[in-house]
Parts: sequence; structure tokens; C-alpha cells
Amino acid sequence: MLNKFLFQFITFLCLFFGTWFLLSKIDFTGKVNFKKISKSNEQKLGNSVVDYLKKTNRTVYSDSAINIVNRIKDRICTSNHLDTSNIKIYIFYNEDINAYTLPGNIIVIYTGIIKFCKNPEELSSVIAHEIGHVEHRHIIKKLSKEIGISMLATLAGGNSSGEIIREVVQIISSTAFDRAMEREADSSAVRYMAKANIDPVHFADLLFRLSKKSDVPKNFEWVSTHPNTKERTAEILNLRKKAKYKIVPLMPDSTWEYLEKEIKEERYKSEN
Amino acid sequence: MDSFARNNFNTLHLDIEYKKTYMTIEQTTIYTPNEYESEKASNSYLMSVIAIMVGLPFPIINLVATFIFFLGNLKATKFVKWHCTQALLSQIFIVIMNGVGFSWTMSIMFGSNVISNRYLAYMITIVTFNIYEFIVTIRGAILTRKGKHDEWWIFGSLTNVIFGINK
Repeated sequence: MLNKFLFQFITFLCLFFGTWFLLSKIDFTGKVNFKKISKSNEQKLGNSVVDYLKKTNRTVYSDSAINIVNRIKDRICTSNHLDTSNIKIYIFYNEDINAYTLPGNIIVIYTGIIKFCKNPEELSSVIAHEIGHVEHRHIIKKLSKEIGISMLATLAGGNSSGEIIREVVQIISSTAFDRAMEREADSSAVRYMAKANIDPVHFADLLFRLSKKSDVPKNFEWVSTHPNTKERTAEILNLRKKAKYKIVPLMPDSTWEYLEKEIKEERYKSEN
Repeated sequence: MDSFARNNFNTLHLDIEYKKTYMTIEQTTIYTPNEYESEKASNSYLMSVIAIMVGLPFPIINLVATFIFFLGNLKATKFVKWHCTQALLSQIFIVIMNGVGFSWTMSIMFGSNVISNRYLAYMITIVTFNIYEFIVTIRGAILTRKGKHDEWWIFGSLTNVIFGINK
């Protein structure tokens, strides 16, 4: 009787794990769905959001300021064999220390975060992190989770009301990516910076200073979709140890000072 | 009929008679539970079914209810005890399976895990096994209520091992 039980039990285990293994080969998570939203539709959606942001925020139109930021982006992209013309950066006047990605390979940077950065290397870490989100298509995955894939397809197709665009902006700018995505973007940022010969320690420094500014209390950490910034700092320093790079300055100090001055002067063009 | 055939026919006839007698002996020893026993045995399966309604999504409630019923019938007849044991053993397996699914879900909702293909595959697998177990439990409850002995795959064999029953 014991043999009978053992035989049946082993058969059950084979059946259970076999079913699990076979089912896990099916792509349930809808990664395939992201391919249903074409690149051109993604671009349309991103442009719609940028148009909305231009109406509700003041855009930095100083060519020299934009060029300086784009030089940082170009260095990161060319060192990592990424198409720099594929990624567009928009800078808006806003005191929030924030930067985020939009569909269509668009990065939005607020002047608040530029002012918060002590040097161009710290700004390069912000850009590298956002490029990480762009390359992994995190924004589309996040939006499809938040507003559903069918709504996203409708928006991307150009059928977007102002109300919905407002909601999309709200989601993008105020809710965080989940921890796995943030970790992925952090790890990409360290890799990009190292290849561009920028010391990733500046990313850790920036996050450390950010963590002093605002952090989720330890008790509520489990609720946050952002990993604790101290944890991220520790992880970045860990990744930095394994990275190979030599330090090549991004730009002369005078150029950075010029950018800071341009941002402070708030020279803009109203869209209204 | 020649002598060879006659001799062999007689032997064959005797064999058949022997087997018929053996089968008759087996049939007369089958145990028939009374109404009270049938109801109690059936209730042991219903314990886990009723607890499902209350217990979702906490998988432990089913096991607790079945275990309490098992403890309450330790001095009952062998028929009742056997079915209480089978019901309890099936719930232990279900709890382990569902417990893993529950903690994995919690780690996605409140932790750093994300919904992956492996997670969804696991959930589909355990839902399938839970549905199968539910159907088998209802069937077991109905059959034992009628006084019939329902031995399940795996759990029936294990219960027989525990009770020292050799078949």
C-alpha cells in the first residue's frame, strides 16, 4: 500500500510541476500587446502629451541651455551605441525636482532637478536613468497597467480628449514605476554612465541628497512603488564597483555655470 | 468427451467452483455504515467546502475546519475516522499549494515582485487543481452520504497506509 501511495504521489508531483512548467511557457503578461501599439502611434501619444505640457508649463527656449543638456544626452547615447536623434529632451520651468519619460522616446526634465544637481555629472545620471526607462519601454508598460491596453491603443491612435491626456500626464508625472523597473533603469544608468566615462558615484550622490530631502518612512516602505532611495544608492555603489571606466570631464565648469544662469533667468516663450 | 478432455474439464470446473466460492466469501464481508455514520463521514468533506466560502483568500481556514472536525471524531467508528482522515490529508496538500500562491500574490501586491508568466502559470495550475479537488470533495460527500466508500487517488492510499489497511 505504501508503494501504491508513493507511486501516486510521484505521479501527482510530475503532473503538477509539468502543468506549471508548460503553462509558464505561454506569454500571459501581454508583452506581445506592446507591439500592437506601433512606434508612430507611440510618437503621436508622446507629442500629444508634450503639446499639453507646453500649454500648462513654460518651456525653456534658451538654445544654449538646450544644447548643453543635449550634449550630455549625445555623449551617453553615442558611447552606448544608442540612436541619439531618436531621443528628444524637453525642459520645462517647474520647481519640482522631477524628470520623466513619455511615450515616443521623449524625456521631460524640470528646471527644479537641474537646479538641484551640483554638477553636470549628476544631471547626466538623471538623463541616463531616463534613457534606461526609454530603452526598456517602461512607460508603455506602466501606462498599459494603469489605464489598460485598449485605452492606450485608443489614445495612441489619436482619439484623445484633453481630459484623458490630463490623466495620462498625472499618471506619468506623479506615480512611480514599480521597483523592478526602477532597479532596471538604475542598473542601465550605471552601465551607460560607465561606458560614457562618467563616474556613476554622482548618481549615488544625487540619490543620497534626494533621500535626505524626502523619503518614505520606514513603516510605509512596503506600500511605496519606489524603492527606498538609500537602498538604491547602496545598489548603485555596488554596481559601480563592477563597472570599468575612466573619468573624462563632461564639460568645463564655465559651461555648467552658464546653464545654471540660463535656467535661473527663466527666459521663456509663452504658448498662450 | 475423451479421457484427456474429461480430466482437464473436471479440473477446470473445480477451479471455477473454487473461485466462485472465494468471490462469494469476499462479498459477504463488505462493511455497510449506518445512517449516522454516513452523515458524519459526509460532513467531514462538507467542512472544507463550507470553509471555502468563508476562508477565501485565506487558505488556512479550510484546514482548520477539517482538523477540528477530525479531532471531534477521534472516537467515532472506523468508517467515519477513515473519511475524516482522507478529507484532512487532502486539505493539507491544498493548503500548502494555495499558501505558496497566496504569499506569492502578497509579495507582488506589497513587495518588489512583479506579475510574471511563471506566477500566472502557477495560479492557473492551482486554480485547476482546486476546482478538481472541489468536485472530488462534493462527489465524496454525496457518495459517503449514501453509505458508499469513496477512496481517492493519493489520499485514499495514504489513509490506508495510516490505518494499516493492505489491499
